[in-house]
Amino acid sequence: MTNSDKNGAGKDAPKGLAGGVPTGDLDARIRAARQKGGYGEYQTKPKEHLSGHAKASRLGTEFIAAILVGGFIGYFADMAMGTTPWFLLVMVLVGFVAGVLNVVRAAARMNAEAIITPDMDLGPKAHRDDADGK
Amino acid sequence: MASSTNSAHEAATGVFPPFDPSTFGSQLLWLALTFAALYILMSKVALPRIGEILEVRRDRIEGDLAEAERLKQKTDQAIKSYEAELADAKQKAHNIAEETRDSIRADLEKKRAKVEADLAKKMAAAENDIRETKEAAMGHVEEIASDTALAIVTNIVGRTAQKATKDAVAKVVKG
Amino acid sequence: MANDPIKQFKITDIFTIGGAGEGETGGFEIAFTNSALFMVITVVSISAFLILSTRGRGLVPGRLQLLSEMLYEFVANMVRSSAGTEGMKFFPFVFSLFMFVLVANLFGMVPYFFTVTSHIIVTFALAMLVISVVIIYGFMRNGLGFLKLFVPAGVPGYVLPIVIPIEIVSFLSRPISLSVRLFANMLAGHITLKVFAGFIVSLSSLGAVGVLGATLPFAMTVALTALEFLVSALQAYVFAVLTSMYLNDAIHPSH
Repeated sequence: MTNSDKNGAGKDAPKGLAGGVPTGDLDARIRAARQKGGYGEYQTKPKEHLSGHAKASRLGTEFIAAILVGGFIGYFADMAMGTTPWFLLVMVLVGFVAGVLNVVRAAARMNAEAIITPDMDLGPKAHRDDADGK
Repeated sequence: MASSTNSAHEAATGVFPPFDPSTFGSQLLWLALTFAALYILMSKVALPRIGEILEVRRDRIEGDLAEAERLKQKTDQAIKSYEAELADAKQKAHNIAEETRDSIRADLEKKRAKVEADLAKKMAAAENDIRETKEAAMGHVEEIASDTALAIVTNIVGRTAQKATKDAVAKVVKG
Repeated sequence: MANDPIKQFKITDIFTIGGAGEGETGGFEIAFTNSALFMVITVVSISAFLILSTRGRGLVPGRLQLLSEMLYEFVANMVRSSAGTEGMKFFPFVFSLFMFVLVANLFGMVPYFFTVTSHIIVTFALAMLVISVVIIYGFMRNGLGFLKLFVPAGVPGYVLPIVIPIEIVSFLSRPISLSVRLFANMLAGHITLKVFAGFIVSLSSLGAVGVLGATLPFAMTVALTALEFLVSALQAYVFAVLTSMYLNDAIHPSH
């Protein structure tokens, strides 16, 4: 009961309804419902961090695919121009670089999109801002 | 593995099936047909419907929350005004009591003052009376004394020294 | 039958349409194969489920409707977070892709069912579709500005002759990696499953000792099956996420 301090504050202050503001709890509940936005969105936010398996399969194929594409282009360029094997060699090299680039980009994006939760151990003095990238 | 019915790829029995080009055409065709059908069904029927359901629900919940908020505010207001009125009424009651007390006190005061004044007047009159009476009595005392003294003196002396006696008596009485 | 791990990928005709007389050109002969059958089954299942489960339009969803709504929200959030609000115009496209790949993968898990996505041509066609949409929309929206995709910002002019081919190869590798990843995962997973299942069958035919010995491959098969379900869902997810990311490139070509 908060009557004692009320009585102290102003003599004979109106006591109001017992137990303080009766709608205070309601207020909190409405706010919670708003904040949760629990309608429609079933907390199924796609995990921006793919799981380990997905990451691995992404990075691997991105690398191989670039070499394959480079090789194909080189092979057909050689066929067309009769310059075997120079274009093949050059384009496989280009493909290799492109593959590395793919992997680096994908990894950078994964890092940038990784969800940083407050309880994660980010090492000493790690700030949340670091996660935003760009 | 001896397949007898496959007219489509008799020529390519040794090929690893996923890489068998003779099946590509038919697969592409059916993929195009089925995927197009899926896309149309999704974009024209299923997704708009689900989107609408979610929209309606969102609006409904939003509306309900707003309504709850509004009602809550109304309730709060009612409570506030009730409390204000309560305080007001109490204040008024307090004032009335105070006023009544004051007026009663003033009335009492007035009456008492009147009574006291009355009393004082009466007392003064009485005192006056007493003094007058006393003075009158004193006057009589002198007269009686001088008469008495004259009579005594006359009896003793035989002659009357009226004036001397009177003076002597007055001297005594006053002295 | 069960012992040949390759056989499950074999395409067989169910019936053919047209081309009755001459078989040698095959010009107008259209074969309705088991692959086509499962494509149809996939599409029909998806559509039937989504449309029937939301038939009631319940304000409070039932279990099936909830599942439909969750799929919707899941893909919608994925597209929105990867490609932004503008990317939402491709939401039906990404959703169709996701559902097609997911359901085709999952159907493939059922014994004796054909896995549509275990054929490179199917995954490749889907990947080419994605990349075509990216290229066409990219040019439609940005005009020649779309070519900025191949010119990284802040690179000095004299290295451009080296950088641009690399960027082009990198871009072209996308449909390859997209299709190869899905295809390889489904193919490898199914072959492995079949091989282990084959062990069970051949070992248990050896009598009591064989049955005892078959428990290990059986446990492996169970574990692999669980893993394969995960992989099926995950590959569909990866396919859809990457599609959204590539669409994002079409919308914002400079990165």
